[in-house]
Amino acid sequence: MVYEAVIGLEVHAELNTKTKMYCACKNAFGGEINTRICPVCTGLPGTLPQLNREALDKAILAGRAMNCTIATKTRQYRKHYRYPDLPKGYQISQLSIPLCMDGHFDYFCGDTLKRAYIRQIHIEEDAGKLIHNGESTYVDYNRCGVPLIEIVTDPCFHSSDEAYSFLEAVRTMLLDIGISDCRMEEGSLRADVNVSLRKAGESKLSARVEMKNLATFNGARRAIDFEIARQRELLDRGETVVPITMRWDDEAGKSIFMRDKESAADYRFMPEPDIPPLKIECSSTPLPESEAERRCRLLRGLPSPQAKEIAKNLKLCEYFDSVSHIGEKVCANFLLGTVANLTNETGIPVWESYLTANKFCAIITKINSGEINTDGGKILMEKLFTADIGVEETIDKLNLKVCRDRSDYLSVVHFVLVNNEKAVNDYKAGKGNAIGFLVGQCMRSMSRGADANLFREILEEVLECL
Amino acid sequence: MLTTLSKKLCNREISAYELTKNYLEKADKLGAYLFKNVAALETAKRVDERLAKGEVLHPLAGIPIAVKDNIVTKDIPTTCASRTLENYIPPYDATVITKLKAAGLPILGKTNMDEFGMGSTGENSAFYPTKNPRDNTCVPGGSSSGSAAAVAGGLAPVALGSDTGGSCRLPAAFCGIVGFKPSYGAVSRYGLIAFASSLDQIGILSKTVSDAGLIFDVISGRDPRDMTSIDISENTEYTPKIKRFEDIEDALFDLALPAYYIISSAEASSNLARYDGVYYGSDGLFGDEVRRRIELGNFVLSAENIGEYYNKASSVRAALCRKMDELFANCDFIVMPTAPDEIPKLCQLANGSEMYEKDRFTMLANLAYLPAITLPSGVTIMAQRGRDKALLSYAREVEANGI
Repeated sequence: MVYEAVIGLEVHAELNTKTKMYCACKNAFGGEINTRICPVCTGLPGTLPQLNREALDKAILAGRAMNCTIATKTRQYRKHYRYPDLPKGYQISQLSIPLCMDGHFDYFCGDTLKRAYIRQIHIEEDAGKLIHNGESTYVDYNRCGVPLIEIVTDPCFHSSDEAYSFLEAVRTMLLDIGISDCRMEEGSLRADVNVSLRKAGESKLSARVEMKNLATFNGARRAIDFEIARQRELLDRGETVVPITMRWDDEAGKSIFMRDKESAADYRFMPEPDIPPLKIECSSTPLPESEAERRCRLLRGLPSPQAKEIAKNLKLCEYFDSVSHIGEKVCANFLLGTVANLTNETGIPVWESYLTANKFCAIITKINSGEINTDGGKILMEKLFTADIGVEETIDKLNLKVCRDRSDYLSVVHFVLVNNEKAVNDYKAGKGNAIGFLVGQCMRSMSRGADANLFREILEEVLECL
Repeated sequence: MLTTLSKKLCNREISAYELTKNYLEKADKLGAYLFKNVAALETAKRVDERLAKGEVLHPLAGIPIAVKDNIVTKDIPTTCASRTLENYIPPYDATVITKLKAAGLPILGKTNMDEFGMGSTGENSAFYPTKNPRDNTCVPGGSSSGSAAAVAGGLAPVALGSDTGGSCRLPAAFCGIVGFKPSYGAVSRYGLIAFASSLDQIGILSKTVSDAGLIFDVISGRDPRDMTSIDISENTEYTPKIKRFEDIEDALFDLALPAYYIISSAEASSNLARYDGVYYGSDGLFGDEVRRRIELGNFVLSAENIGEYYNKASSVRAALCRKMDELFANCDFIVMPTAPDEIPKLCQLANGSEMYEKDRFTMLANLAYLPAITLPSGVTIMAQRGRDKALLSYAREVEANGI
């Protein structure tokens, strides 16, 4: 039996606002427990929420980046449940009239462009953290009240690869628009998944299983694969899938039953009386291109792997865009080769280095014109990456100019031919590759400032005469 | 009365210290207070010192005030007359307290009330009941029972209360004093321990309308910490065009009482969800009436029932607001009785719907966000939302001359 997997995602992202969602406590990670708390975020009697406008603005940016309709009026709701990390006994979240609705977000899965459908994005506050220590459990309220957005997708993914790719793309988007630091290990980005299976070709949705506690994107991928396999087995045996909520144990590589949907807590949603309905004025600050948009644009002039690599990083792409008029392919080659190596060595990205776009372009131009050769270009880039020096002065200092003095070339050619009899005989015998070897030998003898094509030309001339 | 006291303090005829001391000495009477704030003497002393130096202070500086025990006071126990908060000492002041302190009013103490504001007689305190100084056999009314008894019985010149369905106005009527509930949002709720967030307002119990107006000027004003707070109108003009409640009776008002109890219980069950035993006492310590309202609240918000109850009640409320807008388009004030019948005797009323009926008139103002004031004669006057100042003006007229 062939089944189709149907997957929906709920992504929670902590916003990088200065202060918490409803009070003036600092929004930060780590530090001593219970030091960033106040009567409001600890839910002391008598306190009231005071909405953080920065959180609202950042949530709207996410909505716009995902092509959502932004509400003109939005309402907060109280979502009630009991847990020690939730001091008010309810979370201020949203239900109907969420901030953003009905969007879409394009992303690449492998080399295929796909479209994810976004049901809604809403704002809510984070809960505290429980710390287990032997027999006792403690509560740290530092995280309580940190602003969150929750991105809820339609069940529009059909493989763990798609889900994984989407999560990566969302992460990039959140970083690009600058609203979250997306550190999964710090809990600032979390995902829940919903998985169901149906017979291939069917349009109705089947019972779905929810999986929580996915701490990494790879963990999400593994959890989805596990669940698809588990459900496939059940269905093949003629059993039905029960709609339940599972907790994913990544170490054990399996999911653990948490609760069934019937006995799920009734959250008793109630409109939040302490916060009047909010009138929303949607900003028109220009947003950066999405990763998918960048990649599609770059694909017009670059091969797929290079387009993918450059599109991944907004700043790298901006740098590329500022130099690519010189020649897309040559720029891409250098950026992803020499320059990427320099970044790996130094830890400095090119846009923070001394290798400005202007200097980069100047170097490429000189390579194109033949003034210097490719190796010389590489050396120039290395030098200019870590020091604030000029292109011309460095070429002079390091003697990188390609010389084209035929007599110099002839001496080298003669020297190389004398010392490489076998290659000469191979060439004479008709092995065309031998000339490449000989060019290489000549270049090595005069590596800086040598023109390989000129060597080849002269070699061919000389060899003709032998 | 406050104006007289203020003059005497400024003329140094009496000292704030003596004044405060006299009230504190009487504080144990009537079961009106839960906590006497001896530190008030310090505040009073400092006012006297500054007056002696010839400083010009706020006109109400040195006049002591009693505060209902659901208004948070820093370092002073705040219990809502509940065992759950028996040992709770807040680390912050309510906005109204900050304003009173800035004006130099010593806080006499925290007054008794029905537990968490739930009750109309003053018999639902977890600690002890409050007596009605006018008639010891009758209840003082609730839930601001202690504040009303204190002012009526001469244990405080003026007091803060709170009003969710009539909790300032009913005890004012029963005790024969003035009870004022401002427009919803006119006074910041930051620091008022919530019962029903969309209905609660901090109110004033006083001997005269003018006194209520003076305290209102100190405590009112938009507060950024309270997103529901509003600016009220400065316009004090009125004709007056009066409507009497008997003349505007509407079937809609019959729906209003159940709507009020559904909404207030729903919000109460939500606001009291935090008493889970982690920070303070757990809900195991609630009294019966509180428990009853929470169960009712959970019921009307549950997924199966919310459509039939809470959502319908919200629609009734919206309809009532539109109705009141219509009425106030054609009049300045509406005059109505405060209580539907006689003041109940002690232990006369069982909890439940018999007691809930007492709010039949008063809760209209809360549902419709309107300002309302009760006079010692027992009559209540309501105005359109935001017209607190005009209402106080007119009420002064009625107090002096009748309607």
